[in-house]
Order: sequence, then structure tokens, then C-alpha cells
Amino acid sequence: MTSISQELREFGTKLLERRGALVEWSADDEGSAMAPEELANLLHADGEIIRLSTQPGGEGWSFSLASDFLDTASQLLEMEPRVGAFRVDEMYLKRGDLETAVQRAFTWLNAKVRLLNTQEVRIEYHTWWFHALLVSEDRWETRFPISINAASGTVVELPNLLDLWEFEPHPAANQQPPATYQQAVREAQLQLRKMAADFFDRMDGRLQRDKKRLREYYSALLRESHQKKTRGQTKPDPEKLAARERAVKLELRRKKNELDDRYAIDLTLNPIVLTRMEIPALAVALSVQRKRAQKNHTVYWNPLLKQLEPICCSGCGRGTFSVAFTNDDVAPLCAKCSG
Amino acid sequence: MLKPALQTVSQESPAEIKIAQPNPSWKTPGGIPIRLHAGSDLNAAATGDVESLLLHLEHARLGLLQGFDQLLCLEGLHEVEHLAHQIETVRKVLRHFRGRVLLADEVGLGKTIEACLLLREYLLRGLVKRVLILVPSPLVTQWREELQSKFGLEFSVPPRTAASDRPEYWANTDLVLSSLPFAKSKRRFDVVTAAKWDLVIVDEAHHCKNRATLNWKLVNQLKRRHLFLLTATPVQNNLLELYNLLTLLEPGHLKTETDFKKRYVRRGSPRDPLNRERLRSLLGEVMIRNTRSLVQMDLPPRYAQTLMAQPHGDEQTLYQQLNEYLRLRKTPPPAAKGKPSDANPSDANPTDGVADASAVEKQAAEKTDSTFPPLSRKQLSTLLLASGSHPRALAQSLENVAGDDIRTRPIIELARSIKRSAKDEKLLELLRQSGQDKVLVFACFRRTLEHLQQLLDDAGIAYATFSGSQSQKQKDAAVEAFREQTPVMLCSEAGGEGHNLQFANTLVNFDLPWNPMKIEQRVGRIHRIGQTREVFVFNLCAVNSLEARLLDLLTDKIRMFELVVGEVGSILGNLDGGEEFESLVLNLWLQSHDDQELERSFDAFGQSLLEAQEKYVETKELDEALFGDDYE
Repeated sequence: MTSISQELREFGTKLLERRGALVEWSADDEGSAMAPEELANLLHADGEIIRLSTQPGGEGWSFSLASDFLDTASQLLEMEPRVGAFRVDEMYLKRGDLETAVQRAFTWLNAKVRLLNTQEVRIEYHTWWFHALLVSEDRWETRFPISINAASGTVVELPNLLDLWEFEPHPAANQQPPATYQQAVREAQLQLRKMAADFFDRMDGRLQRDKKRLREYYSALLRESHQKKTRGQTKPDPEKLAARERAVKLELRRKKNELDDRYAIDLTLNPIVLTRMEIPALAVALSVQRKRAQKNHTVYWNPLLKQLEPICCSGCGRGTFSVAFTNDDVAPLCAKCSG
Repeated sequence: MLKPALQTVSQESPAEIKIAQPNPSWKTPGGIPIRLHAGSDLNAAATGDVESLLLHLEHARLGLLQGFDQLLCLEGLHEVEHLAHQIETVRKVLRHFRGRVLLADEVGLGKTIEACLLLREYLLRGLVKRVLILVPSPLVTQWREELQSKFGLEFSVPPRTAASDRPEYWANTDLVLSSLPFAKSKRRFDVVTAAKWDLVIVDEAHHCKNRATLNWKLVNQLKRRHLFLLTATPVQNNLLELYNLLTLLEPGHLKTETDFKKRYVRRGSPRDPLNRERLRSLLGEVMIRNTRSLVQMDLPPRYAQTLMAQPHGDEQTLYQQLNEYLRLRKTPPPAAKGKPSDANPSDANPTDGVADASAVEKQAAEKTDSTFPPLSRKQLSTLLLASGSHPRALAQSLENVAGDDIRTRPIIELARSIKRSAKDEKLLELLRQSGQDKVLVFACFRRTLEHLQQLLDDAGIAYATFSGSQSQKQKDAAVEAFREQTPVMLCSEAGGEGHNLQFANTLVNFDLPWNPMKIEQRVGRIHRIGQTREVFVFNLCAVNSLEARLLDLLTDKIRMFELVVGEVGSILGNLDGGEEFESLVLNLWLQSHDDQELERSFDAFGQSLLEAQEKYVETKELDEALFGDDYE
């Protein structure tokens, strides 16, 4: 049994059990499930017993990547919620010298910043798990999370919150659709630039190589068409020459367009799940004095990271520790947006 | 418990937070546009049950395809015995060849398996969706069967109706398997080339060696992302053929034709390359060629012997009666087509001495035509094959095909009354002499297989049975029993594919398929990598039967049983007309009116086979000289 088969078997078993089936494996690659009627119907089983196999083409439902297993699983999963709300009741919150911590973490480029107070609060973090698929002349895909502090809008690199042991369901959570999705997509795009950098380079390189080859081939064809002589003819017929040249150029253009089409990249980004995790944090209120204007801002001390989170740039929405402020609104700007 | 003093900070007002918007159009550093298609927001109510989310995440993780180190195409393949060099080839193509490759393995090393593994890998990874496979006409059935039974892929063969002249068929059918002549025909050329394909596979791609032909033009004009060209003989006459093939794959890879000639073709000697090393290095970027010596696949010799069985009494009468009956109900032969009929002008000439016989037949046919029309080609070939297999198989087939014709009753009854045929006796004699050797006995028909079971039971010879209708477990158990206990394994056409049977070195063809490739597949079950002993093949056939003539042809003219695996296909591929071999054999029978005529037809056909073999040998020598063993 391959490790993939093992993983597929575990996943399939969990999925079936979740839908009320009793699963039993009589051998590594063979088993059966006693399923409720609705599930049996979904799986097109004749009766309540569904035969299971880890071999493609095996009898019953085949748990294999070479079969339609994942497609069928995806149908069963349609009924499973994709959004979860959880909370962590208590976490250790730093009480020490936050003023120094703020000064160390941030660089205030054009304003005077003073710590006003700190307050224990509960913050909801939204972790969007995405599936990204890049399709060009080749294909690349991945699965990754983007976490956002829903209060500040700052993107935070959190550990996998579902790995925490302390969390519990949070039925009282705000059921309003979260407004962080667009930002998560934007951040996902930015992160993909790094994650898929090799893929992009490969596609760029291949396209350049193919274009060069095409150019060389067709310019050689052009050269040859100029040199080509018919027996007994001193000079090639200029009209025929021009027609041949036009045909070659057209063909080159068509081939180049084909290449561009072939290499154009489609990025499909789909959210897989969203976890809304409410955890205790420290809200640090800051007073920012910019020339004559003054405004209060809040930054958050994150107990999971055990550090302050960046402040959200009002220009591009990205988090930054190097902050300038606008003159009138005293709105924070990252170095890039302020430059 | 939640501390009462702790304030929950909800989202700040939109004015406070800058919502960064996704960038719908961005580019790679090299300027390739990236179009973003973002899925919709998750607006569902929240759950507190973490298991749901974990299942979704696990599902997505499993969906992420594994790296090429772990090939997905190998999962769940039962009927395919893939060899190390084939796997290596698949990896090489995936990693380095970007889906455009000339697979030029020597004959018999499994190019088709390599192509199908690659195809499956591409499909499983979602790299391709629309695939067109172009093969020579005689190979369509074989490809379809193999794709279905070995790789679980259902390809659509274009129907021979007006539907396949319409663009919708080609545009809307994702997996198409067509013969090259069918696709390139005037009515279809434009609609086939108008459709977009992710992958095109061309088998026996040397048919596209000449860029002036429609074959080359069709493949060149197909809109496709990936292209696999398969041929064991990329060069048949001169190096320009290689240039033409590679231009299909990568235009410009070998520069222009003039440039290619100047650099690589020796003046006055179009088969002898200049700058051999440079050419080899360029070829290495687009072509893979495994050779027998490279993959260490030199096998021990094999010997074949035909055992003629002389039917007597009822059995002899049975074949005579059947022959008379089938000639009464035979389909009119097709208009002179292909070598066999061309080679025998008397077949095409109604004014010769055969006219009388035809008139008698016509008269007889007219008498019955009102109630019983001529049998179709398929029905006729089934009955002829069944009669070559065993009276039991014949009785059943005749019942199925023409049971409603009262004239078949005595023939069926006679067939059923024969307890032991002449071949039965020969088989028992052979098995008793085989001593400790493991013997594999092949039979096409289920009834024959059942009869052989009874025969061996009665004779007290232990055996295992391996047939296509068994489950995987039953098949495994049969092979295990054959390996460990029984001296004999009875096999249907499935013939133990996907299992190692090299522990046996004796094979008996109790009956014979008319297609030599199928005979070769049978022999290939034991004459393959891992076989260390000499292999013995015994062919059983009745004196004067169609099978006896066929064997005579295959053993005498092309010495089929001495060829290496795959060579038969290459030789048959050189036959003019491109018809399936079975069809040619049936034509010979249909076009002859008596045994003498049949013999003359077979002789003429044998001449065509000889010519095809000569052509193959010439090409093989050229390719060996060009690429040699040291080519990789």
C-alpha cells in the first residue's frame, strides 16, 4: 500500500463516517461501508452496503487518485460547511514594558508617537485558505493560508490556528459575512509572486527561447527566399519574392501569437475554507502628532506571535513597521506609499 | 470562561481600513500576462465543527498533484507491465521535453505503453483535456482496446457517418482516436484542423516523413499544445525525413531545410549525416530512442513448431458441411482491394473459369436469399475462426449467428456430437510429453476453453484457468496456482497480461487468431525480459484449415516466430492498402471458390509479405547505422 493510498483511505473513511456510515476494512485494499440511504444514493450504491477499494477499477467506491474518487468526495463535501468560528478563551498577554516594545518594533518616519494605554481585547483573525492554480504551457498549483486581523485589516503571518489545542467552537460569533476576502485575495496574489517565482521564470525563459527559435527560423526562411533562384533565371521575380516574404512574415506573426496564447497564464484562486478565530490580544493605543494634527491609532500585540503586529498602510493596505503619516488625516503610510 | 471585562473588537469602520483590491491583470517579470480568476466569497454561516474544515483542507491537499518523482499514471494499472526504461522515458518527457517528443524506441520496447503512460499522467494531472490520437487504420481497434482495458481511457472513434464530417464532433469530443487516413480525408481535413487539441499523438509517425503529403500537412496544421510522435524508424530513406518529423515537433529546431542539408547531409549520400555529434545533441533535445542493448533486453531464442491434426470421420464431415454452408451464405467479396486480390487477377475477372462456380452459388443463394440474407463479414469471420478453434466453439457460434436457419441444425448437432477433436488428441499427447515444463495453452473461444477444462479433467491433468472474465483476485490466484502447483494454465485472449509468466517456457496455441500481432502478444507473455530459457511455441491446427495456411504464410514467408517482439507489426505496417490483417485473410477466403484458388491467393499474399519484410529490413539497417546503440 503506497503512502498516497493510505492517506486516501484515511480521508475517505473519515468522510464516510462523518456522513453516518460504518466503515470496516477487511484488508489493506478492500473494505465496506454500511451507509444511510441518502449517502448510498449519492454513491450510486445498490443497497446500504458500499464496497470500498484502494485500487482504481476495484469494486465499489475506489479510493484512488487515478479514479474519480476526489470528484465524488468533493460532492460529499458540498454539504460540509466551509466557514468555522472558534475562540481561544485565555492566552498569556504581555504586561511588561510595551512602550519600549513599540519603539523597537516601529520606525516613525515623520511624527511623534506616544503610547496612551493598553487594553486587553478579543480580536477575530480570519484565516483564508486558498487553492491557487496557475495554468500556462505548464501548470503549477498550491494550497496556502492568508491570515488577517479583522480589526486592523493587517495581514499577519500566524501559525496554523487549527493546530492550537486550546480553541473551542464559538457559536456566538458574528455571523455577518467577513469583509476581509478582497484583501485576502490581494495578499494571495502578492504571495504567489514569491511562491510561484520559479514557475514564472520557467515560463518566461521558455517563451523567450521559443520566440527566438521562431525568429531565427523565419528570418532564415526569408534569407533563403531572397537567394532562391529558378534554373535559367538571373534574378528572382520581385513580385513572387514579395509575396513569399509577406507569407513568411504573416506565418511568423501567427506563430508568435500562438506562442503568446500558449504561454498566457491563468490564475484561478479559490477559497477552500475560512476560519474565524477569536483570541485575546492587547490593544495598544497610540497618540500620533503630525505637525499640528493629532490622531489616535491602535496597534495590537499578538500573543501567538508574541510580538506587535504591523500597522496597516492607508495607501496600499499592506502591513508595515516603517510608518510615515499624512499631514491632515494623520493616516499611516508605508515607506513605499509615502515615498 | 470569557473574562467579562474583555472587550471584543470587531471590524473597524470601512473608512479606517484600506481594503486592498486584487489586481486583475499583472505580469510575470518577463511580461507574460497573468489573468486572475478569483472564486466567490464564502458567505455561508459559520460552524463550530472543526472536522468539516479539516476535511475540506485535506481534500484540497490530496488534490494537489504530486511531483513528477511520483508518477500518478502507475496507480491502479493492472494489465500493464511497465518496464524501467519506459518509466524513465515518461519522467524524461515530463521534465525535459515539455510534451513535445519523438519517441523512437527500437521495435518491441513499448513506445505505445510509454505514450499511454504519458497520456494518462497528463490527463490525471489535468495538464490536458482534449486529446487526438492518430494511428494507421489497422491499429485503431488495437489502440482502442488497449486504451480501454489497460489504461481505463475511453476514446471515441469517429463514426463512419456524416456526423464526423461536421465540426461539432471534433470540437465537442474530448478524447478522439482516429485513423490518419480518415482524419486527413478531404471532407474532414478542415474540421479536424479547426478544433483545438491539448495533446496530439501520432503513432507510426514515419507516415508523416514527407512534407508534401497530406499526412504531414494535417499534423502540421493541427492546433495543439503537445505532440508525441511515435516511430521506430524515423528515417526510412533519407535524413530529410527526420528533419520533416522534427519540424512538426519544433519548427526551427533544425533550422531551415537548406541549412539542415548544408550542415548535416553529405552531398550525394542522403543517408549519411555530417556533423554527427552536433546532430545527435540536437536530436537529444526532442527525441528519445531506447535500444535493446541499452535496456539490456536481449532475449534467449524461441522455437516454433506446427502440429498438424488430421480430422477423421464426423469431424472431417463437419468441416466439409460447414464450408459448403458458409460458401452459400457468404458476403459478396469487396471490390478488388489490397494486394491479395490485385495479385490474383482471376478474382477480379468474372469471365474466367470460375464463372460456373459463381453461377451455382448465385443460384443457391437466390433460393435462400428471400429468407436468409448473406452473412456479414463479422459473422463469417466469427464462424471461420470458431471452426478453426473447436467443434464446441463452432456449435455455439453457429447457433448464435445462424441458429434460425434450419440448414444449420445438422451441422450444429454434428459439432456437438464430437467428443474429441483431432487437435484434442494432439494436445493431450503434447502435454504428456512436456514433463516438468510449465505449459501455457491459449484458446480464443470461451466454449473451447470450457471444453479444454473438461478434457484435462478427464485426462487427470491439473490446470489453472486465466480468463478475461475473471476478477483481479481470481486472476492472481490462477497465476499463483500455475506457478506453484499446476503444470498447465489455460488462457483466454487476456493471456495473463500484467503478470510475470516467465517461469513458463512452453506455449501452445490451441487455436490461432488471424491477426499475427495477437499471436505475438501471446508469445510475448513468456518470451520477455526475465526469461532465461529457450522458449518453445507449438501451434495446433487441422490439416487444410485456414489457420494452417495462415501459419504456413507467417512461418515460411516472414519467419514470424524468429522475429523479435514488435517486428511483425513493423512488417505488416509496410503492407499496401493499410487494411487490418484479419480483413485481408477474410478477403482471401471470400474471393476464392475452392481450395486451389485459396492456395493461389495465399501464395500471392505471401509475396506481398515478403516485399513488406524486405522494406522493413532495409529501413532497420538504415536506422541502426544512423542512431546506433550509443544514441541516447
